[in-house]
Parts: sequence; C-alpha cells; structure tokens
Amino acid sequence: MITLPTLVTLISDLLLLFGLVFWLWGTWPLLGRASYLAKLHSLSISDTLGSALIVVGLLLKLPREWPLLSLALLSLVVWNTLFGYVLAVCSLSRPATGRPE
Amino acid sequence: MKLWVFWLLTIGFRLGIWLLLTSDTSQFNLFVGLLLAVALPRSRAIAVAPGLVLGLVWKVIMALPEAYGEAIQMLSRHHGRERLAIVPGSGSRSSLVVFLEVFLITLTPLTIALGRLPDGSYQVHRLERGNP
Repeated sequence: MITLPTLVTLISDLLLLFGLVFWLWGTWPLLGRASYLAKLHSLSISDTLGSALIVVGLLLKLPREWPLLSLALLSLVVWNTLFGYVLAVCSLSRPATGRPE
Repeated sequence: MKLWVFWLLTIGFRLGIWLLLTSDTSQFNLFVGLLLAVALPRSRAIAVAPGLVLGLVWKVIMALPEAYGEAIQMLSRHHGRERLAIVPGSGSRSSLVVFLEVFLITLTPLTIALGRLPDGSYQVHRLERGNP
C-alpha cells in the first residue's frame, strides 16, 4: 500500500532525476561541433526546463521553503530564457533593429 | 491598458517579489515592501490593450507544457537542421508586449528569437528534425 508521503517522495525523486537528465543531455552538445545557435537550443533544455524540474522536485520535498523556491523557479525560467535570447542576438553580426519604445 | 492600472500591477508585482524574498507578511514588512515598490524608478510604459497582455500571459502558461513536449522531441529524435523564419507579432510597440512575445518564442527549445523587425514581426532561429 502506497501512502501519500511515499508517493510525494517518489514523484519529487523522479522530478529531480528527470531534471538531472535534462541538464546532462542539454549540456553535452556544448562539447560538440554544432553551431553556436544550435547549442543554445539544447542549452535552453537544461538551463530552463531541467532547472525548473529540479526546483519543482525540491518544492515537493521542502514545502515549507515555498516562498524562496517559487522565487527561484520564476527567476530561473525568466532569466535563462531571456539570457538565451540575449546570447542569440549578440551572436549576430547585424542584429535586426525594430526597437520597442 | 490605462497607465494607472499598469502602475498598480507593477507595484503589486514588486511587492509580491519582496514578500517572497523575505517570506514575512508582518505589517511592518508589508509597509517596507510597499515603500520600496513605490520608491523604485518607474518604467516608461505606454498604453496597451489589457486583453493583449492577458492573452500573451495565458499563451506563456500554455507554452510551458509545449516546451517540455519539444524537449522530449529533441531528446528522442536528432534535430540538426537549422532554419531562419519570420514569426508574426502583434505589432504593439509596448516594451511589456515585446518582452512577452520574445519570451514566448524563446521559452520553447526549438525556437529562439533573434530580434524584432521594423514591421513588428520577429526573426526566429528554428531547429528542425533531420540532418543539416
């Protein structure tokens, strides 16, 4: 018979594991010969999605730390995504110009 | 969106971040957070339709499961073909709308925004299945 705490532990362990898999899988291509932008695509898997899974896993493990963990989740997703965009734009020799006001 | 509504949302967002950071909802801390939220510089916002912003926020939330779906696609099949594409945008000149649109494109791992074109659409780098 599976109790609720066991189930929560199991789910959070699985989330941590999947997060680690995403991290390793997304970081590995950095060593390869793919183009800069192709590497950024796989890096966004590890950076944004993998880290988010790990933080959600931790959130299940340490529910009383929810304020800091949810802040970490929000900043990781927003920053990593925007950082990927900034790195991509910086790689262009002539970026598209249509600046917002 | 009326400017004062935008201003209120900004204050609420800053206060929310402050409360999460301090994890203390005592009256004094609430007061300090409110003071800080008002004291921080205001962004130069321009009026924008609230429906547009809410629709984009909804799209961002819906894009999260899609992002994981694309990640699993990339894990299971080799995606080696790179392509430049143009994705239409709303054409709004509000910095909040542009931020949300760029975020929406870049959040999903198969597409990265490369910049905004003068007509309001976005140049996008897309990864597709197959070999280069």
